[in-house]
Amino acid sequence: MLHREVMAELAELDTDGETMALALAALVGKEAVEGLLDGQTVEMPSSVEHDTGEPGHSVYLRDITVSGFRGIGPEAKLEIESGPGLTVVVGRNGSGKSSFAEALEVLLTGDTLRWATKRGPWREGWRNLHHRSPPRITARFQVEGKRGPTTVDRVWSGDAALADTRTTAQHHGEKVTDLVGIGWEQPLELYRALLSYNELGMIATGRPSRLFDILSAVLGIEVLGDAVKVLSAARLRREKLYKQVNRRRLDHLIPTLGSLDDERAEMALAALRKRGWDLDALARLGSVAHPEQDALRELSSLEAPKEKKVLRIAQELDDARAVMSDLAGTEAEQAVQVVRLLKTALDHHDQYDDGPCPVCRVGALDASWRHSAEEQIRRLRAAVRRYRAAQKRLQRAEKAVRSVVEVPALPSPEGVDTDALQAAWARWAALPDDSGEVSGHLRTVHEVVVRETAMVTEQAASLFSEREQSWAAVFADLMAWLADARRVVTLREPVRQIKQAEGALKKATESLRDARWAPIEDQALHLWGKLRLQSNVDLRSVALAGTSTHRRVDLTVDVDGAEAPALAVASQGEIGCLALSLFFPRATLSASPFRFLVIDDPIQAMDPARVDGLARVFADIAADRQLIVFTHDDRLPESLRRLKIEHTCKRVTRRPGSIVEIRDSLDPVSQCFYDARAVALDDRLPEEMAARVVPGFCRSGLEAACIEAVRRHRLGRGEAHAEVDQALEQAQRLTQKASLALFDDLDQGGRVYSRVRERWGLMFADALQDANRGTHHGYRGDLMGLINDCRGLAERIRRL
Amino acid sequence: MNRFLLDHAHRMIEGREGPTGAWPRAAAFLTRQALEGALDGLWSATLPAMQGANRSTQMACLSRILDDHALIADVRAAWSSLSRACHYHHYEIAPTAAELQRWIRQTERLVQALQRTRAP
Repeated sequence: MLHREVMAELAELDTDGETMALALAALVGKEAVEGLLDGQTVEMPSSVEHDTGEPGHSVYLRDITVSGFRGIGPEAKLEIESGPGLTVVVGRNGSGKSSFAEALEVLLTGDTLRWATKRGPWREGWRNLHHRSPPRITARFQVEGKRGPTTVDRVWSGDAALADTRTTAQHHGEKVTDLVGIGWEQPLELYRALLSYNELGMIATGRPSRLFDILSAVLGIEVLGDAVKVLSAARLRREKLYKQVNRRRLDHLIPTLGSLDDERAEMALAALRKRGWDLDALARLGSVAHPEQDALRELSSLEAPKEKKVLRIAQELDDARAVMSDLAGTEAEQAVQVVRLLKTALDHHDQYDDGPCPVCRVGALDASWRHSAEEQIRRLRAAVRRYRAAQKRLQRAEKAVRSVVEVPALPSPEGVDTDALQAAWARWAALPDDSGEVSGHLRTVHEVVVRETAMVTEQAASLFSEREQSWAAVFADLMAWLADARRVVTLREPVRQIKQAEGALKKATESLRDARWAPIEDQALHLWGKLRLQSNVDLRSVALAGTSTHRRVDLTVDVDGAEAPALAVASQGEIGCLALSLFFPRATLSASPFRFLVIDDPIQAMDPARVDGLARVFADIAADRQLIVFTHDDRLPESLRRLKIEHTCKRVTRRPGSIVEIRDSLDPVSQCFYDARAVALDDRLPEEMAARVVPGFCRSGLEAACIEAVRRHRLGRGEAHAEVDQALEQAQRLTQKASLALFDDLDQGGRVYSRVRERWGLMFADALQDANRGTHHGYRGDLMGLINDCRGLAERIRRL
Repeated sequence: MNRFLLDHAHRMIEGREGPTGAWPRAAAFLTRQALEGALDGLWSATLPAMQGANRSTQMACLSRILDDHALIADVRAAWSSLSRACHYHHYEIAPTAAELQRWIRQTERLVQALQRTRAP
């Protein structure tokens, strides 16, 4: 049912299919949510329902027996008629009356949070000091459909603390189990059949969230709260993973990379800082070019020409030059010229045949000349060859020099100063014009080049390896992070989906809550209407408001037409009524198996008019519930008697030694004469004592009759409760009370005796006098006669 | 006699005599009678004229014959509480055992004071 209602609410909110599926999976549980997010098909159950539909078997209280607990010493038993009806248990504070209510609460709610948070004295002081045997609480219930009683029992042996023992529970003739075993635990928590005065006050003083929890629990939608929690948990798990990875990005990677002077670090930073993270760019980081680092590597491997090589080149230059200079002016040098000339002349002769010599114009170029010229060329060939070889050698040596001093292409990465090296090398390359100085230049400047090169390569190499090391470390981190980041970025989409589902489910919960709350609120307003009577505070709305830590119950009232928060304007008594108005609808939901309701002292600080309202509300509830009300004075019983509301009254008294006695109580007039007769007939009591006590009871019976008559009469003519109470408060003595009853006037005491005599006879007038006097001095006559006469008079006064 | 009444009041409170349930009022009746008896004895031994005065007047005049102010205050409080307990009042229910025992103790002290007053 709930499942379907949630779907309807979600549809109302225009929820998309994906979000709706997730919200519904949350109703199934954690596994379903995870399955759905993993892309599995999740089977949605047709119904996820909190068990609120069918009411369980009706449970009525039969009796509760307590010993050694709180104000109760030896075993005391409170018996309640186990069916619908109102039972009022009256006892003075300290009489042990509340101990029964508390005992029932301990028995049924065990060690709930409420007990755990109680302060020391209560945790320590729960044992009765007058009782030596183990504290024990036993309650018997009548469960519909069960043959015998269901017994719930709790006993504390030794020094056991309040929470130390377990409650046992047993249906008649069945095995002993516990409250969970008989299926009561959850409904007990939900419907709270027990309401203590503290709890009544809680709506004013307790944490707002606690009241919210108590009131909303019965709506049966806490399963939706659980579903929201399932979703939040699923989201938080993912967000936590994501956050951990993001934290590494922010706290480690980005600062580390920022501290590096490395272009790869800059690229990585850009990728990390990019919205949504550029993970692909990070992945490429290992393979892209890094010119700066390449330049460093190149520079670090730069070598100046080796000294040996330079010396060899310089030597060769010197040697080659020496050979050339040796040949200068020799036949060899001339031979080259001569051979060139002769060859030119031979070419000429080939072309123009014999003729005069064009050079000397004396000789002739002819066959013999040709012969001798060719001869001479042959003769000079070796010298020419020698010269040419020397020439080539010099050229090679000079070329080697130029080559060795050639300035290499020097990269200039940032962080390395190559200027000095560039300058040194440029100086080396600038060879002297005088070729004789070249080899010297070559040798001396080479040393500078070597020195500068060494400096630059060293600098480059150290920078290179430094960067490589830092980078290698951060790069490893970066790659490890990248693997995790790839995983967590896939969580972004599910987180978004979950957030949407959470929001949708929360909204659906609120509308469902409002829908289910409405009838309870109506009933609370209706009850308040009955309870408020003359109050000018009108309850307008009771709303469950807020979510999570801000959840609270908003009580809005209308005071003489102006809206206000209830707790700010309501009196103590009104707050009690508000609490009752909230308690009853919840405790009387038809789904609750508990037909009994226990209320401990609901009318502290409540004015008499409101007590009448409360009595009527109790009467309504008692029509089909077993309502047990503990109260510390006679206001509620008085109201019930006067309004003729059927009820059973029990009185609790506590003797020294925590002996608690309970007896059924009659109306006060009958009770006084009942007690008078019991005293008169008690043969254990000396006659003298009976004679001294009986008149007192008789006088009390007469006083009670007068009070009853006065109250009925005055309220009947429309006087306010407070006025009537005030008039009665002034009538301390019997004659004053009788004066009020007979003359409607406090001060006609002197006429009471004669009026009674006139109206009802001398016997009754004397009985009144005897009761009055006998209270002080005892009565010497026939006690039973006095009792009967007084009783007769009392009945007549009551009928006035 | 007064001690005798108090003794029976005690016995009733402790459940040693008297019917169940009636004991709080019964004990209150006896205690008041004991207190009033003690007062009567006191006046007859000291100011016999006071015996005719009403109890409120008697309470007001206690300081003329007793000089224990704490005792006087206790007696006045006990008498006023007992008077109230011995009448039936709307809403009020019978006194508790603790209240009764306190009143009895106060009355006992008065009875003793009375004996001291008579002694010389």
